[in-house]
Amino acid sequence: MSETPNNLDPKESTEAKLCAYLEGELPPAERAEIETYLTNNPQHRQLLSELAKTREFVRALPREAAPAEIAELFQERLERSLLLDTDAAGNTAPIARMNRWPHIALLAAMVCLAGGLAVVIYSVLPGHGPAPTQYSIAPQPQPMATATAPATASPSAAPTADVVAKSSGPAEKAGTPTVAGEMDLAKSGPAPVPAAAPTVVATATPPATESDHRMERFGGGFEAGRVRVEKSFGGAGGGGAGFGVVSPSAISGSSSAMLGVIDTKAVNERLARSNSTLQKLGAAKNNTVYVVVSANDTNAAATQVRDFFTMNNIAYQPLATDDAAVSTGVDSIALKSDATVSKQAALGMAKEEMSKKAAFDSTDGAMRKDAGPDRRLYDKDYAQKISPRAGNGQDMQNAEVAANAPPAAPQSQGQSSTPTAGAPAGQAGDNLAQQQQAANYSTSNNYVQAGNRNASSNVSSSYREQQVPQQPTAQAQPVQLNAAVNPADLTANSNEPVALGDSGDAWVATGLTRREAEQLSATLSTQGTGQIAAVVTPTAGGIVATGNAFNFNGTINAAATTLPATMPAQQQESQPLLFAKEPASQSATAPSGGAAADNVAVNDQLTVTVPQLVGPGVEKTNTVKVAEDGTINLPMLEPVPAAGRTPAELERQIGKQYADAKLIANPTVTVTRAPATPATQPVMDLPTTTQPSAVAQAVEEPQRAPATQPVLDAAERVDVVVLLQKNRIAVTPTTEPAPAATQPVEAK
Amino acid sequence: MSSFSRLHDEAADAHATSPVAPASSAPGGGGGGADPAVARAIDLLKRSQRGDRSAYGQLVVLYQDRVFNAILRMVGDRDEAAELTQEAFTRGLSNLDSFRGDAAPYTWLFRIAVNLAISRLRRVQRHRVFSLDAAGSNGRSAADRGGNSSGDQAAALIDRVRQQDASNQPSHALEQRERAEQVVAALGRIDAEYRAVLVMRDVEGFDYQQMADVLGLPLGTLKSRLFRARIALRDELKAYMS
Repeated sequence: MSETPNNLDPKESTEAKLCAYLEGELPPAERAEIETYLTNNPQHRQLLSELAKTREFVRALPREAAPAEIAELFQERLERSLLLDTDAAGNTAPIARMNRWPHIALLAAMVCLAGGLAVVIYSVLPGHGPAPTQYSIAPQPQPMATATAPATASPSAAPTADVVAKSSGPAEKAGTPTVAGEMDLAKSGPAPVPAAAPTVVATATPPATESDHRMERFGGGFEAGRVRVEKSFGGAGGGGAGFGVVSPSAISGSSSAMLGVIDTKAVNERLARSNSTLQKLGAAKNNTVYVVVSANDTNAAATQVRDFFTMNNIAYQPLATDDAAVSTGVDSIALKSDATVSKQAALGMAKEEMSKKAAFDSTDGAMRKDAGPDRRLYDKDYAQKISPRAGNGQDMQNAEVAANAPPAAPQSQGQSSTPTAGAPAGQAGDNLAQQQQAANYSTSNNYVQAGNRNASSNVSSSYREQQVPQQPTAQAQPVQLNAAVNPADLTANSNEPVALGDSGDAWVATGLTRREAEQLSATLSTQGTGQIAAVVTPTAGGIVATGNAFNFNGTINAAATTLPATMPAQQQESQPLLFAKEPASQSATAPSGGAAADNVAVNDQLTVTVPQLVGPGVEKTNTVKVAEDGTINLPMLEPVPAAGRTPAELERQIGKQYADAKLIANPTVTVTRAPATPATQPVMDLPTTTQPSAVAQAVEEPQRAPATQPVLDAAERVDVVVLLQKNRIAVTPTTEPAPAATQPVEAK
Repeated sequence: MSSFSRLHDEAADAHATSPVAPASSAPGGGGGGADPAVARAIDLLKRSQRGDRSAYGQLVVLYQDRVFNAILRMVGDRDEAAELTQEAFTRGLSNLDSFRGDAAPYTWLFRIAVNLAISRLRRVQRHRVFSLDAAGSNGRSAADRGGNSSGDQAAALIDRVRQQDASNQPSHALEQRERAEQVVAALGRIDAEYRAVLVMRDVEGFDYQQMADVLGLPLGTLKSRLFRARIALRDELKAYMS
């Protein structure tokens, strides 16, 4: 190696040459030059010799092997630096950096998952959703009316409840009140117990914030508020006395039905509008039941109605709801018994009837003998409707019937539709008419046959009273529809707006039993959808108190003559409200009769036998008396609601309570009954001619024969008018049923 | 680690059979010639650059003795030399990308090691204050031998060599041992840069170009520094040689 940089200073250059000489890398020329120099300078030769010697010393140094653990230590250090994310020198620059993104992503996913889970749990946990509606039910036993209750009943009595709905049906729900008051209404049926029975008051006090929710649930359109529903058991009167009474004054304020369906204001308004139409349609006759359906989906409800009729082989006819049509009588005529009668023909007949009536009126009571076959269009209802006007010379039918009626039929007196022995024949033209109509009816082929149904129930009270003995085969008679229309009524009330329902759906069917009417009501009451239906019978505080359930303009028609004895004369004024503004007191609203003979009543002595009852001092057979609240006390049981129930029903109830109390798994209960003392409970007496209640009623209103008090039972035949409205209460007034004494109770 | 141990044994054998730093040899492989060992080292380093940790581990086993020995001659302390050896390998792993193939793998790795050693020696020279009483075999104190801070290192190394060869050494061996001690002690007393060039030239057998590449010095300057380093070492060994 002979390189000698040119940029070196002379000393460095000399040192570089000497180094190269020492290493033996100098070219020969330079080497000879240095040898010459060294020859002349022996001290420098000595130096170079020593340098060469030290070089050998260094080269002779032993080679040291690295410790064996160096590799492993290095590996450990490498791993440590990897974990600590630092290099071997402690710097943060990692030798092998770990990818932390998966960790971050995993952590983020866990946080999101936990958050979502927390939200779900929070939403599911109670207390965060809408507050549930709170209901409270407070039994409120109240004494029922006495026999004189109808006389004391006053529609002007101040209401004591926001909403009071009383059921005259069997006290099946006695003691087990439910908040579903509409069900109680829906189950309203015959009032078998002619005495006061326990009253249950169901009170709902929903939070104000729940009003909208509840309103929506029950169909909307109802105000929020507090409503009390009162149900009486067995308080049936002679006039088919189970009824619902709602105080509009209370409701119109801040209250609305707990049921959410009783918009009394709307109902009253609607009934006020439709009353005349119903009257025209012959609905306001005896033995007619009204089922008003309140539904959100009126189409579905209409289908239900029709299905019910169809499935039960019940002939029915639609009721027109068009105001104009009704006012002209078109649809009213369409209700005639012959379903095949066209509206046009019916209209013509109606007009003809009107003209005939006008002619009759012009003759001031003269008999019109040219009615001819058209009379078949007049059914008992028509006859009943026009009969009270006979005394006023308004009813040509009276004359007609008087001329054609067979003699010797005892006629009713005054306004009573029930014939009373010894009644002047001149005052009973309606009965004559009814009789004649019944005769026509019985032979008519123009009435709709409703399967194998018995038709005698459509016969008016007087008709039945007289015809039954003559026609023991009344069961074979066809069913007729309520179709009679009084053209005079049509004319007289044509200026009154009519609206049967918001949806415009209405039907009429005849020949149903009350039980079927109840079943219809129950069928149409669909819980959870806001749709309800109810059978509500009139009473002094309600429809009956008006004198005519459907004559809200003050007209007393034939139906009024059949009103139960609970109807005081002064109450037969115009009362255009189904729900009396000031419902009568408990005693006033108590019906005066009409209970089924076999139903348990207050003060009845019952013998209850439960063989499975064992225990010290426990008798298997107990004789108990139905208390004033309608209950009986049995061993180891809470008071059992008994009033208004048949013994069989009571047996089931007792058995159920024993089973529910887990005392007896399958109890065998036998209930036998001894009738209560009539004198002590006049209001509970059966509304027969021999019942004290009837006597009392006769005292109060002698013009009304106690004998007309019907026996209401589930088998009683009624005509049913179904009114369908949207989001309204289902209310069904009914008029007086046929007298029990003479009514052939026909099994379905 | 078994693989490391096996490689270590192989490398130890190779290290034992290698010439003792002939000055004219090319100990690190100069630029990747036809030397199979150098070619293998290059391959391992390339694999290491591709993330093969095992390849770098083999490289460590292959060069750990040479690196350790060189550093030991520079710093004079085995523990410190071992530590610096590990440090050098770690730095090498962290700077694999700096190897571009224009030098032998060992040269590249030695450059890292010598820089570490020089840095360590400079730091020690500034901060070490302990006595240089660890006298060499000649019985002089460190102060007597010049009083620089590196004397303790040389004394410690001499003592260790003395202990290792304390028994069953023939007279020649004893003489060599004594000489080695003196040389090590003398190396420990001269300047770090001088030590570096002497170790590279006389211990590691680098040629001038390799030394120039490692130290970043021109050849002339390198030769001049090497000449001065030898004079310095001769001065340290003058008493012994006389």
